[in-house]
Amino acid sequence: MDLLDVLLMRVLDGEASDEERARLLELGDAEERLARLEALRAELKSSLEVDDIDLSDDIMAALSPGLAPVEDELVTEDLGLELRLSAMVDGELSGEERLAMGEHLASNPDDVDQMTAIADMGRQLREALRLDTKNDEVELWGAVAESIGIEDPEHVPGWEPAAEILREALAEEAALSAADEGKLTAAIMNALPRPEPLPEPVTEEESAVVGGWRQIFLSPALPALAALCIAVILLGRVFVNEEVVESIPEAEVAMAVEAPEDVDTATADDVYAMVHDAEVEELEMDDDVLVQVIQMDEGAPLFLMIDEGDEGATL
Amino acid sequence: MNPLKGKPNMDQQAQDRALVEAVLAGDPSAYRGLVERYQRRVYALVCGMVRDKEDARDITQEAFVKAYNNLNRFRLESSFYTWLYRIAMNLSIDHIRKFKKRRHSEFDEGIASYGADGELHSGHDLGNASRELERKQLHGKILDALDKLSPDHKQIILLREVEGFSYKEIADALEVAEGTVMSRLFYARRKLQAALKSERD
Repeated sequence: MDLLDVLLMRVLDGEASDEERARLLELGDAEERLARLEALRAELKSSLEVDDIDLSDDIMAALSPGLAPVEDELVTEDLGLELRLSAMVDGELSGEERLAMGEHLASNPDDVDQMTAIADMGRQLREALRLDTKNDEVELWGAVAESIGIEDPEHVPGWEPAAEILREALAEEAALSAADEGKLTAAIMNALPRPEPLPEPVTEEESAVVGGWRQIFLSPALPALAALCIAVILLGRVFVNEEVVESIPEAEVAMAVEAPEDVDTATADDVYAMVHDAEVEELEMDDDVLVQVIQMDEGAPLFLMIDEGDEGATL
Repeated sequence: MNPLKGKPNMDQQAQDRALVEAVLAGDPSAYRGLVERYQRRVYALVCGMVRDKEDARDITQEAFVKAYNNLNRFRLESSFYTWLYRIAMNLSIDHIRKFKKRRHSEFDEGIASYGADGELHSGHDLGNASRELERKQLHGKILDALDKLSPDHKQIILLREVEGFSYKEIADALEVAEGTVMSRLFYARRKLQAALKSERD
């Protein structure tokens, strides 16, 4: 096997241009050699059970490792240009070569297209391979560890002392948390801003009073009774020449007053308001008379006038 | 300036070296860092070579095991990845020579797709497919074209186009001259273009 055989292998591999092929076939017994090489290739393909074989690369690599590639022997002037185009795409030309290539490209748009085609092909190949494998799960450590004799792939040497320290710290932290949980909760609650103290729980006695109030408030005759009370008081005041209240003040101008200390009306009102989702306002009419305006969620306000004499609260 | 991925940077190389030294010093679990750092990259390249995912996974795993078993022969001043890559590529080339017939039939199935009528069509029958499907077909064709290259050409194309190695890095990885890289890459590209054209036609 000599250089001509090697060059003819490239012809068989389809790596020589038509011009190169024609030049080679003009040489001596090239056609006979070519037929012999073709038979050799067919035999190799059959014995190796492969669809194709690259004679020049595969055989020469096997026969002569380190032999200079035969492609270099086939580089014609045109091939030299194409090689440089390929190297230009890869950014592998020197500055001087790039300048020369730039001048060439300025007047040869076909070569610009060829460079673009090479670059596009590379991009498409990258994208194709990336998309082809991007969702593949590749976690090989477990299998590799098993193959190289590591019993526990997750074992990390030097971890034991650190793990012991961490275990102790966690246990200590857990114990502290359990002991101080109540105190911690109380401290947090005390630290939170709270505008008003919550109402005291209602006693049984108070609950009875509240129950009475509720019955009154829930009575269907209540509005009529309240209106009657207002009328009676207003008329009474006119007859005794006392100061007459010109009109029942509106809720928005009402003046809230504190309930007398001996009557726990505040608690009853709060409970009522809470139960009926209503607002209760107190209006001062007289020393012994308490007027309450109850604004329900719906409907007109409800006026209650309560005589708070020495005998106790009466409606 | 290499616009692509290229070899690991110096920090990574120093980390790789430290991990290799740790393994050689008797801590085999340090090898995990190297496996987890490079498994996906090696797998993607091996996939490009053998075009079968199960085989690619097995070959990648075998490459890591082989690299581990020969770690004492690794020169610390070299790039671990380049060395690992060479092992993986040699295993891939061996595999291709053994199982070339099988790969073609599997890959043809791989680029088949379901059409609007719910029937399975081969990738070449989808004349009215959506743009996405066309892109997928193009990818199928380019991978099919890649598959037609000789192992050496396929390898050099993958090193340059996918790994972004410079000519010098490729020359180091394949232990050939830079001129060889330049001409082999040129021929590989020309063959790939021809194969792609034939796929499109």
